[in-house]
Amino acid sequence: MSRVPATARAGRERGGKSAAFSRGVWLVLAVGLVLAWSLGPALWQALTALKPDAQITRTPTVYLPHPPTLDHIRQLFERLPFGTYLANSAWISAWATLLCIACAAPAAAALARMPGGGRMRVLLGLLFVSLFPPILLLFPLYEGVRALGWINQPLALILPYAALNLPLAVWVLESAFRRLPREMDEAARIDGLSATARLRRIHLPLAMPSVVTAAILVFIFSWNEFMLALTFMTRQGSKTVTAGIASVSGASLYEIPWGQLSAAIVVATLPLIVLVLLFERRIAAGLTRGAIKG
Amino acid sequence: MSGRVWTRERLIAVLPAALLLAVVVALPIARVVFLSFTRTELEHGVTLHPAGFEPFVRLWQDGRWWTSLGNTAVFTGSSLVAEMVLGVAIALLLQRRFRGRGVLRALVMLPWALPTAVMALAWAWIFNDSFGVANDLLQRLGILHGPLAWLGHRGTAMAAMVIADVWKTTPFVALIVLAGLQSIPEQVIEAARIDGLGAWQRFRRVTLPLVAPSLIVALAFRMVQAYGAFDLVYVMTGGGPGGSTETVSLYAFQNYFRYLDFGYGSAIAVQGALIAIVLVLIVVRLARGAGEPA
Amino acid sequence: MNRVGRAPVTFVVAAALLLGAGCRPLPGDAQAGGAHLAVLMQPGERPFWLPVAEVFERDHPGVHVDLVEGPQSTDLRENLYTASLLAGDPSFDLVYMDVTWTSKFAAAGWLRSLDDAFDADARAALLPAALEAGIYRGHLYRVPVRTDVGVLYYRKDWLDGAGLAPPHTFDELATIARRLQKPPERWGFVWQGKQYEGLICDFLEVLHGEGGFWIDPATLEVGLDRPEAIAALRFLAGTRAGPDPISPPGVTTYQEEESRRLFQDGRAVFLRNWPYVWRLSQREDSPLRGRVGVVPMVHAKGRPSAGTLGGWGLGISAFSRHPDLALAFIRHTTTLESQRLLCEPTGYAPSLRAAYSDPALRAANPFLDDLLEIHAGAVPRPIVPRYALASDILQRRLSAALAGAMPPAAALRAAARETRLMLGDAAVAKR
Repeated sequence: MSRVPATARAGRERGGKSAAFSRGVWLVLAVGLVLAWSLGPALWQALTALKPDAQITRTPTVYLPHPPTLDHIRQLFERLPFGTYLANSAWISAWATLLCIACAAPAAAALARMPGGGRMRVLLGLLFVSLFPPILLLFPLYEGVRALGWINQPLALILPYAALNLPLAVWVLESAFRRLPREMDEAARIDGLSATARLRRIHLPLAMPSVVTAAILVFIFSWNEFMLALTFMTRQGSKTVTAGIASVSGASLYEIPWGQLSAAIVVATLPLIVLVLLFERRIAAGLTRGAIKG
Repeated sequence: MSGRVWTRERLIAVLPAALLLAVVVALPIARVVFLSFTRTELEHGVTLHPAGFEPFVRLWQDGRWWTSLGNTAVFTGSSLVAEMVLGVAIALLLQRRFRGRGVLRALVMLPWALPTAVMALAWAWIFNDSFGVANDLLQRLGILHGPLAWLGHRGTAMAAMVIADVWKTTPFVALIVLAGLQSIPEQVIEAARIDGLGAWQRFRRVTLPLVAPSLIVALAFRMVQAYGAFDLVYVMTGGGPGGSTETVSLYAFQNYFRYLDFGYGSAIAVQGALIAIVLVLIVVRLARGAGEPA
Repeated sequence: MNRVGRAPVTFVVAAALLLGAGCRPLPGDAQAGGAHLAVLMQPGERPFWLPVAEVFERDHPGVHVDLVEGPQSTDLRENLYTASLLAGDPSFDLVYMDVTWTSKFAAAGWLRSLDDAFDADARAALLPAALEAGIYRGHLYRVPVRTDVGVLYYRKDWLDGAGLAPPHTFDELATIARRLQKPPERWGFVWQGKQYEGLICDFLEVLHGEGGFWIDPATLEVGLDRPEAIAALRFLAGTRAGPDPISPPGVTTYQEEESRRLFQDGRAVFLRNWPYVWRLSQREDSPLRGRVGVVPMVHAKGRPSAGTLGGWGLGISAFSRHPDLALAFIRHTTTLESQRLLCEPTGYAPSLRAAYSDPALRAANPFLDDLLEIHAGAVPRPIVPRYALASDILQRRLSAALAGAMPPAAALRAAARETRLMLGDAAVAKR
């Protein structure tokens, strides 16, 4: 990919200083708009969570809390077993991620070295699996969970989450494994290393960035899942954060303590925000690699 | 090395993944299809009785089913159009080189990582008729001359839902398109510029066709996701007002848990899924045909 | 040569570990020792149940009553109970039920029969209409704790000032409303027109006031497309649309609280609502203190007045691990002391007959006598297992007519047809 020298391009492209300036202005505007759009709603929740009640219900809208208050956050933890919800979400998402990667990695490794036709068929088959709307699976899964006595048990969610994210994990891992040089694989095989050993010693370590990406994606999707969590976890102590908060919604303004609810939303989404900001590059890479197939 | 594609080694490697998918996806699909041919009675406990095609005949005559299908179509269509346009715009922005681009990309991805169900509550608050920010901003800008009961009227409730959905999923589209954009060699764009094509023409004749494959992938994924959307509808509007935002997923859910009509709920889910898959296949085929470069 | 390696063994071991991790209770699921009774209820009411629970715990040492807070929306709580009971989950020992839930929960086999536990004497102590709402197919499944009936509030001061007596019929209501209202600051008649269960309650009162009916539980006959029903809907639609409205256009977005606030703010002459409004309007700081009167809901000339029956009661989950304790708790809630604890601060209508002559309750709620009388004529909603579906069908059609999207006659004919279809399925099932 050769590049025309930047200066030459710059000369041709920019019609002088004024055009450059207006282009710069447009850029700043565009960036500003995009930022406002992307961050606005979440920021608004944070502001509401810190506002005293009187200012929340004032019209016209009060934008900045003066002074900010931590009351809502405090009352939130008193009113709902929020720490419990967070712990449950973390536990279930972590195990689901582990299980998913554990199942996806060997499959991906095998697929990566498979000749073209068969590999594409399997990958497309996986894609097809992820096309079914979840509502289709809800009730039979509910029946299964009920029959096994797993209502309110973490396994009721761990297994489905691991399974439903398998296609994504396999796609991400497979494309990463395929990029690894074949010769290493072949050499190890000739040396007598079993498939498992090869997975452990070559594939995983060398493709670790992609493994981390896949893990983060699966974790996020598991954390955010709502429908199954709502149905399978009926006891307060078993609920995940998503199902726990969302099931506290009410019917009219007078019945919802918006300050507390906003605090709940902020607390529930904070772990994800941190995760995304830390691992943004990996997530982007994983998503796009998963979608741009060859 | 054996000439067989599926060696014993490979079979064992994919076994865990295959098992997981069989148990969590394949079996439930078989079960829900079976259930869709039964009638559920609520007299002495909940009992199932074989009913042949009766549930589907009932579905055909069910006005509420057609309404939910229509609502789902409107929601999916509007969301997709908005997401594609916004997604491409944001991708174009992110493609430019400027300082802080990485940070912007991370922040743009934030909405996508947050749980839909939790943010649905946040959006309900934003669109609150008395104290919502949406009304306040629009009134300050002079676009509205009095508060609008967003979630209280048919059209605006759907609009609010679409906005919430677009907010969440545009980053996904943007990222995929961005990856597609970044894989376009510089020379191609340069050649077009040298040929004297203006910015818009460059975009339409060169960029867009080359980005089309990734757009189609994004389209297919998003279509299925939007079609099966449950979290947003359940939490933000509950299908109201007047069932004007009730989607297929929600109607199925109501039949399962509110009316205890498992057979009919299954028929709705199965019929809905069939339509979704057929639609996706059609759209993808059409888009591929239209996107064939000249 | 083992090409696969130790993987399968490792996997099985890992799977076993996973099962272990997955089957243990979650980090958040610790339960203290002693017997627990759990019940899910609405957040607004829960604080008033705390003293009731405390007394029970004091009388039964070692027992803890867990009042679990659920969403304010009745439908969402019904879903939560359903998900739990359908799974046979013993999380909730007691089911705090609306009047309309009995048939569904009982038909599904989720409730224990209370026939043996409550004999004729125990039943006689409770208001008959309230008790009836807990009976399905002849068996008792739900004991009423507090009951409700729709009533008509009015501004006594304004009516007295104009020398008018409170209305008995629809026409009288409309006439007085038109005379005393000054839209849009002051409206004549405010009620609940949003598409939810409350709309059914309001409509039923007008329907029965016209001499009509919804579903006859014995014959499963549907009365929605009869002239009385159409007249009823025309009246309601006419309060808001048409040349001379007496209700604000926003009435189709009101639930109980919105309509109450309008009345409380002095912006309505008449309000149809539940008994709880009384107490709030007569508080020390209320501008309406001493200015509000209560009468039975208006009706057509020559017809009896009808107020819709509401209320909440307790049933025992079929999966409870402590059915005897649960039963003891239910008995406890219907003692005079508990009824006082619950109804005095809230203005709720008690389900215990004796409570209506209790001095403390009468002091807190002076129109208890009237309430007793009105309650005797309370109209229950039809007891069919798929009541939720019948209600949703009717809600939709009523809402469409009120919004002007469909003429009342057409809306009710459609509702009648759909309801017959739905009941027809049930009739087929009865073989």
